[in-house]
Amino acid sequence: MRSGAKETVPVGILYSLTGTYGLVSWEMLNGALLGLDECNALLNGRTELRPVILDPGGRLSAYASHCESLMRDYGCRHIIGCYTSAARKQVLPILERTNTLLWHSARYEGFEASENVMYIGAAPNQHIVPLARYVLENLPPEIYCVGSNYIWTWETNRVLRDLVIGGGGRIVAQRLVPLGETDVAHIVREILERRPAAVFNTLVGESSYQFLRAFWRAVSVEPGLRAGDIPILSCSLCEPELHLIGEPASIGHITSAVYFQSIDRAENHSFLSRYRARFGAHTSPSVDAEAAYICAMLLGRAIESSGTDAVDEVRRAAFADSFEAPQGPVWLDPETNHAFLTPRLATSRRGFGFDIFWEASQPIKPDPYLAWLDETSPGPTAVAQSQPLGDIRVKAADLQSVKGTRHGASSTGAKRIH
Amino acid sequence: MPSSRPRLLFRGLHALIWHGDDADRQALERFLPRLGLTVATQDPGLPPEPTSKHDLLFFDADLDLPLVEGTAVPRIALVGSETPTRLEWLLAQQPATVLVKPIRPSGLYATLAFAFANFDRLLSLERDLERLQTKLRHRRLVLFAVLRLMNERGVGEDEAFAHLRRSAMHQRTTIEALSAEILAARPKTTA
Repeated sequence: MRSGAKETVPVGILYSLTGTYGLVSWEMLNGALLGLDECNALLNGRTELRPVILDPGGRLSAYASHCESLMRDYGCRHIIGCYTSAARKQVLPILERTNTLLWHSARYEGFEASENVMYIGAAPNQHIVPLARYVLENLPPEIYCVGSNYIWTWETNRVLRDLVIGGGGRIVAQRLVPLGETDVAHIVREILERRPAAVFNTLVGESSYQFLRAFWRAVSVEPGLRAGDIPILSCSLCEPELHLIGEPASIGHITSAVYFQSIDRAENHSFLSRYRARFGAHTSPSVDAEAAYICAMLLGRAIESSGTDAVDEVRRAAFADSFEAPQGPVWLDPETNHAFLTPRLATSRRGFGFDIFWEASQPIKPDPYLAWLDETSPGPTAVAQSQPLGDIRVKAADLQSVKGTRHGASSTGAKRIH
Repeated sequence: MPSSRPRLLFRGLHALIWHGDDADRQALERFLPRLGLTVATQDPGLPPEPTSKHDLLFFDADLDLPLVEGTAVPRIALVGSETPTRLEWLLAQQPATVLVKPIRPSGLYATLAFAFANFDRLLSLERDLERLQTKLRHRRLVLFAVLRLMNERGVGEDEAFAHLRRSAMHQRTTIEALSAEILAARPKTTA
């Protein structure tokens, strides 16, 4: 960018606003747009970040062609986008060939670290590991896994299985259904028959909503079983989905995520009100919306401080930055191109929100290859050593809300986290 | 026997990169620590120190490096040129697997997994081969020991062999060693 003249920097936005992931994608688009607006205010008229929005419509092949088009036809050097790993793998070769940057907002299963991606969504040690640790410390570790049959389920189940079995527990069963499958009655029946201590749910979209509704209905008429006796655990359930599931089926589920709307920080209160002022009171920013917002902010701030959108300069500036995000301070780890984030555990409550009952005392270093997680002896102590999760903060209200969903004695004898 | 679960965790291993100091070597130096490995480098002009305590070796397949045959660690070839002359040289070095230059983060994890799996399988096959070759060499001994027992005890082949096996088990020795002992200690009396 030359000094003096106002310049426009095109920023590609590549989310499937139509198709299976439409709902999440709109929230991510909103988050990115809000972030770009705020960066434009920061740039104070010297430079304008202009979003160029293309919609691959959930078709994998369109990700590559749209990505090419963003670079070639619109001159983008930076793209915010991609929700599934399959979509990201489509654009990776293009990013590497053209030395452009993807600012990736979605949490994912890890085992990737491209030089041309800034991974702002949670790495596996920032979502599945805290959840597995919770299981080991608080529940008889007999877990039933149900999920959509694709890579996210396979990999998160693998990590959970290794940690649970390593901690002396067992996986009661693992049931996979095709993506989009809504016939889940047989799974609900089997869970009630086998009575696991908890269910780990990696179903996505409508499959998951149908399952949660069917499960609630079945539990409510099952003698000797109350809602919450078999908690359902997830790494993906978010606020907008609670609306779609509907109450009371949406209540009492445990989620591991780096962001919830109920985070009590000034930065988050302000984020929520700006978000709703911009996009409407009915909108419900999720963990994905916050991540897309952070993507835009880290990108815009790096362009502001380096005075250019050239990739190498922006990357360097972004690595030197630390941003007070709604979830807490967020910064990039130059070793892995992933972000330091603050994991949290929460229970869904009435009113389509979450009560947070645990949070890490500080942002956790990303470990995309789980290289520092000892899988051979992964007791809570081993996990704690490899990644200090820090103090456990408990609020009285949270404690109350969690009690209904928890089992009694911890079979591992480990310290309870609430 | 190879372990039932393959090695997928590489934390704490030490890699040596025998390659000129260029973008490819630097990329490997940057990417390997993500997987928990420590890294040392060696310029092509000199062979690695004999005392080098590495767990795996990356080497430049574009140069005729003086690789020592049968190194005790998995070796990964960093391949630039795929011409037949280079491949001929490379195949003779029997690397555990190859990694194609330019080095990118994608593929590195799979390459490590394959290198160790291939290397372990090769070691295990070599051990099996040695064991079977020894067995084969001693087969004559066992055969004569069985014949001796059949003669002395007036029993059939099956019973003689069963006796031999039982005795070996009781004495905590192998059938082959016991056979050798029988033949040595009790020389044939009949002409």
